[in-house]
Amino acid sequence: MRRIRCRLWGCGLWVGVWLSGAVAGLGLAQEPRTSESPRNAVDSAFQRKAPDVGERVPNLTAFRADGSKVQLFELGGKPTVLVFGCLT
Amino acid sequence: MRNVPSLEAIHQDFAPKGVQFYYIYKSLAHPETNGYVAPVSLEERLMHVAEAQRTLGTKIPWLCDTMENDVKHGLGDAPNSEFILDAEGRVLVKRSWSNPDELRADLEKLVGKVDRPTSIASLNLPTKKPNPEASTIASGVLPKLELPEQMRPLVVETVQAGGEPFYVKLRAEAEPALLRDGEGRLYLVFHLDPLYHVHWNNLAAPLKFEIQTSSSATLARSAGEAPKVNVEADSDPREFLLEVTLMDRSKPLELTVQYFACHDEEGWCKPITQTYRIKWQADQDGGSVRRGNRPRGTAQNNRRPEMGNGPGRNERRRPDQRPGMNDPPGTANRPIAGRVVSIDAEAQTITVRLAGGPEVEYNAASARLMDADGTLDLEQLKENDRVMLGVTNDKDADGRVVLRRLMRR
Repeated sequence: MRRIRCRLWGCGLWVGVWLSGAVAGLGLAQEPRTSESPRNAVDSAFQRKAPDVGERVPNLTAFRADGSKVQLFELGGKPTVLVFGCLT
Repeated sequence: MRNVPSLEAIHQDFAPKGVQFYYIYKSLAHPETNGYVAPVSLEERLMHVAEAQRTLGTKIPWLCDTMENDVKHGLGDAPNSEFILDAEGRVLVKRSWSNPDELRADLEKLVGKVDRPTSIASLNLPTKKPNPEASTIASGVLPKLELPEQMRPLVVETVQAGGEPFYVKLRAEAEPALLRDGEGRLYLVFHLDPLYHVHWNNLAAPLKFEIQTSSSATLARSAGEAPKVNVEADSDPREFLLEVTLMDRSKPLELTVQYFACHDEEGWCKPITQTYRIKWQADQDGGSVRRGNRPRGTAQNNRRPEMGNGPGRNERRRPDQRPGMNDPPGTANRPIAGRVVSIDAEAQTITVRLAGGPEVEYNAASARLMDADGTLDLEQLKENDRVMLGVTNDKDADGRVVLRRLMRR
């Protein structure tokens, strides 16, 4: 009985190999999709790269609209909302 | 920035409660939208900030990121993220995409509710049209090139020589194969920067460029000239597609461009020569161009155009090969019918109830809107207007299909 089961398993394996070969040969096999949507990619990169909740933001340099330099730490003293954006 | 009116309303409500607000101006998310192109200096990025203040009518102050995009990189590298920091600069909330409703709720928890929240309508934001000169200079006079899919922006640097601003900006993009395997196509496009209010002078010689031959790459052609244009002045970008074989990707290409630019208000027209350096390195801050209304290369239709000319324009197609004949409705080439449900002029979106019943929100930022009398502005559309839509295969960052054209019936 065990021997029969093994033979059946072997047969199934060969059928599987043949089928996958045929599918690939017919061009039906698709490459696995690994690319995530641009929005999801932004989300996951953001979660990885942005400072965590409770962490202090780095003291980076920016410029005020008049061109004067400002360090992010200089903005402290009050609760602060920062929103990134641009013209487009 | 679609959320500006909501953010301004939140600012109005919570600034008196001791919360300070800043927008951080970063690299362009979608260059070429409304004609805006990436600045090449801090002075130019500050000009963008002024333009954002002018066109969006913002009261929240702007901070400008460095040209190296240090703030964007240091705070998570997302185009429209938002943070709430405590008084010591610690992160209380971080969000990869700004969400005004959630921001308001967070601030209510932090500093208390507002008795009468400000409505967007009551703000009366003094918004101005972006790039107002665009309507006075001819455009659409040159056919757009068919481009390969998934082009990657490359790092482009300017080589300063003389004091002239870079009236024209070069954007370089590479086919993925070029960066991966060292062989593929390089797309070069020269845009007039709308912040300088100049136009091409077509009575003079067309724009031409030359690439200094080096050991970094072999090019099918190392020089090019834009096509002659029959109108005296226009603002269309000058495009080129080159076959490239990379030899040494550590060495950049140096490109010199010559063109005549004119400034009508200042009354000058002059020849300009400027140099750019193109690195064989994807620009992570290069943004993505919304190219809804141009032909796209596909695996089946991957013809290689000559430099400066659209491909196959003189070829005749059989009726069943015409664009859209074999496409299902709603795809790029077959228009679909519906009725306008709502318009968001600020966000440049339109919601349409399609003939089959579903309501779909489209991105109309780059769409051509028309009716029998000519072109339309989004604001001129009304609820329940019957429309025919031509859509692209593109989606915006929020998953909305990008509209190519809309015809009011």
